[in-house]
Amino acid sequence: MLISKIYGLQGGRAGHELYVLMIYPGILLVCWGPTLIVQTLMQFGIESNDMLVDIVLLLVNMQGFFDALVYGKSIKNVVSDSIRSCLKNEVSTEEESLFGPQISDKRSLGMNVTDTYSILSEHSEAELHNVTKTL
Amino acid sequence: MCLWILSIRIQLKFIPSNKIKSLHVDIFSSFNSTMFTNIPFNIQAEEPYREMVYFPLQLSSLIPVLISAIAITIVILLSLIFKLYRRPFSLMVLAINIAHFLFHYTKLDVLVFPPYSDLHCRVFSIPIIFGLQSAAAWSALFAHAFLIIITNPSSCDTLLPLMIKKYYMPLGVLLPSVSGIMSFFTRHFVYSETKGTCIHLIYADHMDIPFFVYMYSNWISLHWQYCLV
Repeated sequence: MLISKIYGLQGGRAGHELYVLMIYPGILLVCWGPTLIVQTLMQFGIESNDMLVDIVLLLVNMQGFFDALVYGKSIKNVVSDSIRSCLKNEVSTEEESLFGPQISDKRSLGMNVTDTYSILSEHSEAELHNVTKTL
Repeated sequence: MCLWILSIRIQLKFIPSNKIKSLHVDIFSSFNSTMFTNIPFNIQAEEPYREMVYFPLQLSSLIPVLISAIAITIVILLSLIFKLYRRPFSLMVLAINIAHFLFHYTKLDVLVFPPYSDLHCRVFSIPIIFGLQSAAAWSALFAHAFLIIITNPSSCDTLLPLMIKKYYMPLGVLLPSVSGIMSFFTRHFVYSETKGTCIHLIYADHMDIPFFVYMYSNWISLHWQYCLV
């Protein structure tokens, strides 16, 4: 349902949104699926070796890492944006000291990175807005 | 009569194995057996069981937990530093990570406070079950919110914050809290004298009802997400 909608909105391109939406259930399945299967089999009296139990528990414990990796990707963009804006600020301060105070006025009009952040990329949001307008 | 009703016995005729002739659905298996001394709920005591160590004490076994904990901490710190929680979607991502934070840091707690009693393990089970269920619930709600935004993009700043307050918070926080508190009474984790840590007991030929109840949220979440996607 969602895939077809996003596909339709983005003209057949799958964006970061789809990646997040698809991968989280995938992580849940990979991390908790084996545990559920192994524990259910144990309850039916089927023996399992220690190695298998250890692997299954390892997957359960790695869920947080995988999730952080998936959602961290969007946060990475914010951090890189803010670093870029910091570097820009430094450059503009240097320019300001060279060319005068008028540049600082322009800079003050720039938007803060944290205010514009969304889980949807800016590009996707704009596309989404345009497509819904035409619809 | 009441006790008889509580002791549900399901005959598994569809399983051909001789080993699995009957399956005892023992609702009160996890309650304190001393409360039910005259009723056949503690039949598990004589049955063979398997110990699942959910709180390993060795550092080598805690490496995956440590990796997860570090990754989650970084994400949470960045979310807080850059104030990403102002956006509804980012707030939900933060909620998922806070749930994971509780789950993983409780596991790491054994390094600082090694378990010493049943009560200790039962207290540990509260944040573990809460974290597990809350993360699953929030991820499903994330997918739901995404569907709403896709169908109605203008509702991101108006409808979504309201929905988070009205519906998502009870589903993502309140229900897992109830489950977490319930896990304290159902003795999901017990203290093992031999292993010196908290374990989960799995009995052969017995259905582990609390385990399936706690896991059920994950599968509802998974099913919901796949339905949406």
